[in-house]
Amino acid sequence: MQIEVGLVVLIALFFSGAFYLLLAPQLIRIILGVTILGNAVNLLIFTAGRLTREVPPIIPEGFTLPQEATANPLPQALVLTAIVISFSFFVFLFVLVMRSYQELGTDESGEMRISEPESVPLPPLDY
Amino acid sequence: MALALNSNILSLGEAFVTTPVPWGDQLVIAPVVLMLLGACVGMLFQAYPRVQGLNALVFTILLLFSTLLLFARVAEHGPIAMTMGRWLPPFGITFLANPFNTLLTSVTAFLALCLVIYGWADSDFQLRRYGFYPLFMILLAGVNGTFLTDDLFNLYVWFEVLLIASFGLLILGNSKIQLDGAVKYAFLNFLATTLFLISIGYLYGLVGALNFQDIGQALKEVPHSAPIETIFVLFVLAFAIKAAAFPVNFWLPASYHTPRIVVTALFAALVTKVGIYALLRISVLFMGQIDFSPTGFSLDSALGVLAIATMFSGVLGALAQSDLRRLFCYLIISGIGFMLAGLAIGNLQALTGVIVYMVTSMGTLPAIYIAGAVAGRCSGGFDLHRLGGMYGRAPFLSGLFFILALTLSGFPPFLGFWSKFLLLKAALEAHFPVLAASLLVSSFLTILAVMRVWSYVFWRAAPTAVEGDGALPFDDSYSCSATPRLSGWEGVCILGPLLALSIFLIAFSFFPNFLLESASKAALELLSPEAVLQMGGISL
Repeated sequence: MQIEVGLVVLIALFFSGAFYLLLAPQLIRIILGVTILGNAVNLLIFTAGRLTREVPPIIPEGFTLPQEATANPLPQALVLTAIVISFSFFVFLFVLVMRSYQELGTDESGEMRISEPESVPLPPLDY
Repeated sequence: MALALNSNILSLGEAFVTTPVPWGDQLVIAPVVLMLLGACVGMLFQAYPRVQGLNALVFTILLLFSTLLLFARVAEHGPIAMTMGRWLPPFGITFLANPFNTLLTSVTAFLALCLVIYGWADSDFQLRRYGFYPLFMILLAGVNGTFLTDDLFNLYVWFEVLLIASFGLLILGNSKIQLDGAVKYAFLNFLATTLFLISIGYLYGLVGALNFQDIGQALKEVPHSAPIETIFVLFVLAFAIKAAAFPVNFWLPASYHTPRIVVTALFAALVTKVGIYALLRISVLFMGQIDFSPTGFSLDSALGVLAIATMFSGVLGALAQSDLRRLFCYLIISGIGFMLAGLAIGNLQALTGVIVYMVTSMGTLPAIYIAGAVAGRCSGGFDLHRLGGMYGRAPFLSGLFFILALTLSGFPPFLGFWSKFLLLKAALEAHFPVLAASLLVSSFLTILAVMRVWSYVFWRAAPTAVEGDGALPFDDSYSCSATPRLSGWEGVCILGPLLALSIFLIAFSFFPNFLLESASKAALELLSPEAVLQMGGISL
């Protein structure tokens, strides 16, 4: 129980930093927020699987199961998957942001109004 | 999980599947494997656009056969499970084919086949060289995986497969408007899947299981102090973003109108439905275990408010649009509201209504987008001010559009009516008067919205001059916008899928028994017998 507390505080810090950046108008800050958010989630899953001190997962001769409680391997597998996925997403988002900065000339999300024009005319009202 | 290993299983042999899966049951993974294989073959022929089109056709036909076989097999023998890597369910990842998801995969395969054929007319060779068909098939693999998996983390992985393929499809064409739409779509959807991952992390920390059946069992045993309500709300938020429910739906009208129509049609049919499907699966797990009474709010009324807000924001948004594609975007959102209404009622009849509604809108939305696309390409833009005179140019197409518009708004003889009838009946019988009234009023507004499209785009004569004050700027983003010919080969590629989807919808309109029975079987399977007893048959 005690081991987890430190990590929980760290995760909270990660999350608050990530959401602060996600709320910024500049895409480059949002993308940094996304990266930190991904790491926060990875730590969260890792901690959710409960933490143990270093116990080698070695099964003694003549047994079929480890004799001490070893680290839970499943969250590690989940985190590994999540790291791969979030890294590929980060790469895609980074290129997307760069391309849209080149094409649209801005990285302020509030100024990106091509797909949602600011003054949309009303639909025709007479027949 | 380490503890479970120590206490429950004494010999490793008991943790393994020792009998091989029968050949017939391998069909469970066929919808995913076929699409991934098709995408790989497509990538090998990157430089040959014609081969890519044929390759996609062959693999979607195989997909349709395999899903129909699977549907028939499940209907005959009951649910089929298959566990990967020989580990037994708590450890291995299970794919489970039941009446619900086989119905959805069959409809998915059918509309995928239609869209592959329509894609021949709507995608130029450059688009195919950039990987239109492989991305299309990867998206379908993601959708089928999401439908068939029985493991929560695996569901997340398929969500991501679907999402990355949809990013690729959204930016194919590389125009400014697409990049703008893709930025909004990508960030908000990525946030949604991250929220989903956070909820999985919390749920795993609480129950130590990822398999749906295990989670359901474990949730019954968690202590009352456990924060399952919080976890459920996190799940609902994540899936509400994916499904485009009201306060978190702004990514949809910002992005769905930007890519090619074939891509928009695919997204409209599948991407939001996957969010609803996941929401249904998760809600069924949690129902009966969660208790919101200390907050003074009941779950069904909270979901009902969400549903009503989604319905009305969607349909009112549709009434205010002058871009045809965005108008349909808002109608997608309105449809999500109807499905959420069924979930809020939450009994067998309502869930049957939701499933019939899902099937209906999976057939109607792509067809209506195709018909709208033909009108738009004939007029060089999707502005309602500019469109018109389609009845004179293409009377057959106009007739199909009229039927599709009636289906979408739920006019009596057509399929949309049956799903809305079931939802309305369930709402009245379960004493949700406000919800029932909202269903009726928003259906009426939907009729107004689609009939306005019909009268402007198809019925009236083509406008001679566009009045300068009201019109949108000329839309040059649709680079494939040479006027389509509705005869010859191109006509077959456009009208064939449209006709197939319409026949599918009309056939089920007049002979709805098969669909209604399958849907009610699926809803029963979803609720599972003991869940029905616990719920007392009424609310969530």
